Amino acid sequence: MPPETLPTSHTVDDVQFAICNLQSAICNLQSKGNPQSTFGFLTAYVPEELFHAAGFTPVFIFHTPDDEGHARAHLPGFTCWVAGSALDQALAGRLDGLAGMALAQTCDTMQGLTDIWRRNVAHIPLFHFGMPLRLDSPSARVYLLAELRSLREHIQALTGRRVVDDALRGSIALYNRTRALVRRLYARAADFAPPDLYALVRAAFQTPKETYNDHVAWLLEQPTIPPGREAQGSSPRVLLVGCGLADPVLFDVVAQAGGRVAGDLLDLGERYFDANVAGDSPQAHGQADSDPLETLADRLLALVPTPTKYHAQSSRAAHLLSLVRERHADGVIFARQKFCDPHGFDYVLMAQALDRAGVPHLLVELEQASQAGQLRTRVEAFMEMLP
Amino acid sequence: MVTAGVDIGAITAKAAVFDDEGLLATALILAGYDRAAAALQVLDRALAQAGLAHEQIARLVATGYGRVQVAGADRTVTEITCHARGAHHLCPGVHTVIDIGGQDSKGIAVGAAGKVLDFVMNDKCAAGTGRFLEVMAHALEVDLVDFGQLALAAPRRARISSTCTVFAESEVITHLAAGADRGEIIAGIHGAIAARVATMVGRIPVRDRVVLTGGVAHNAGVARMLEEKLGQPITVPEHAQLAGAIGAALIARD
Repeated sequence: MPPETLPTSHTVDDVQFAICNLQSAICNLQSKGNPQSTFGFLTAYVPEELFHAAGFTPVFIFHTPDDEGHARAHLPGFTCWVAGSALDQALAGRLDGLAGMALAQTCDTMQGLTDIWRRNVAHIPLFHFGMPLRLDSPSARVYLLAELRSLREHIQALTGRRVVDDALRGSIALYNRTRALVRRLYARAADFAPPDLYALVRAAFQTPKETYNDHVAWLLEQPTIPPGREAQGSSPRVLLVGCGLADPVLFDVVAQAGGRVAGDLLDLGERYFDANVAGDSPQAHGQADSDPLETLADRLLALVPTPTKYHAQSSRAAHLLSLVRERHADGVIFARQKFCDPHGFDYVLMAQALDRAGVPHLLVELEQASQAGQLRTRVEAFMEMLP
Repeated sequence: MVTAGVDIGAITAKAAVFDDEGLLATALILAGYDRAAAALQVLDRALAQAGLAHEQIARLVATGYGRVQVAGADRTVTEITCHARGAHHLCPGVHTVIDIGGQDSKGIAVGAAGKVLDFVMNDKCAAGTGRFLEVMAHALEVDLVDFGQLALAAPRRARISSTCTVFAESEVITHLAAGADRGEIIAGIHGAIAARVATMVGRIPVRDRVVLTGGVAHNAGVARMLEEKLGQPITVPEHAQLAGAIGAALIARD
């Protein structure tokens, strides 16, 4: 059944219609929502469900182009825009409507941001979540469970809202549905124009999940969209590897170069919605006898690790190669934020694995001030080079 | 069939016209601020030289940073692909192309028929580009045309350690203040640009035959010092600066 706000017959492009509705939902949340109902978060390991179960709407704080320079007094110039822009927005007072901010431990920059935030943005309480570095050690799960319990107590103490198991199970089921829908989007990623794929996935980080699920489920049910792959002719299919969906410029450039994004290994992209854990289905987490914190811990440990984490049995390169085969990708574009060390080290190993497998790849470095001209030349030349 | 290629670079606009027999004409002008007008003008010049009219062009391919501003182009292709194709035509057997233009420098690994196998490109900084040489020539009050020869004539090279154009300029001023010989400073500047480009190109396989293209190819000092750094002979074809336009015209024919 389509959501009530949607018509049952369509006179405009369905993809654009869904994107438009999702963007309206984001604007609505920002302008009219209860100012104390939204919770900001950064990094790829925040257990959003805990905040949702407490009655909040978790929203990822993406960077904005209108940087006012406030963060430069606290962060060095080489800091990534993810940290820099969030701090800038907070210091400029643009995040004052947030009930709080959540950060999971990933890189040194995010760790440093935690302290800077607490000293300088004290009016927006910060919830730090200690995601372990080694995901495969026997103590990782014990540690993670203790962190999740501590986070739940912290949320309850600071907000006065209870996080009961039943509510948490309900939130997990809702998020599982979002994850399942995003995975269905990605399974057909190359069918979408890259900027549309970007808009649809980015909205999953910003829209209330209840709204998101309705709109995307409706979109995926439409028989006429997206067009089949045959309609795309011989468009080169690329996978993107990097930090996140912060900037649409790369998706735009791939589209302008005549290419398609067939999937990604972005920290805040396809892997974020991955569910390679037994029983991760909309129903499984609704089981009354399961400990929802254990379910959350198992899922976080089973995700394809970001370059800031280590897991001996979960190789990012192996995952990337498998994705190349599964999506019939012609090449891989590494989109690295300039000076991002974790992705810098990761690139070397991934590039070697691709070389051995004979998969063409390109490295581009992104900065907050987009250099679309040079980026376009690089990406177009890469596309021209593909067999 | 008559085909044409137009290459709108950061500083110059180039055009090449081919027919089935081979290269008919070329033209080169300053690109100025109006890239669309420069594209028309440079193509007009090449056509006038060939005694042809616009209507006789069967296919036109545009390349370079201003490629999207070329009116009437049947297709746009990046300068990386075009330089590889152009260098392959000018120097058959080429395996590595080093293109140093006004705004950027590139290393291109070239396969059979001039196809790009891999490439590297400088970041947005001007070090290792023609702009670096322009800034330095201006600071030293030397005509750019003489710059390379002055570098080769110097008995020693002043040490220019910075790869940043702005910092290198302040190093040059420090050398001048210390009374260093101008020729030696010029030689040091050429050494710095060669070192920068050689480091970048080292990220792709550098295999004989190595061909230098782009406007800076006409600077003998850079070419010689690049040979030293790479330990390989470098070929500079007659139409080095036109390699992109020539490649574009050939791709139009393909």
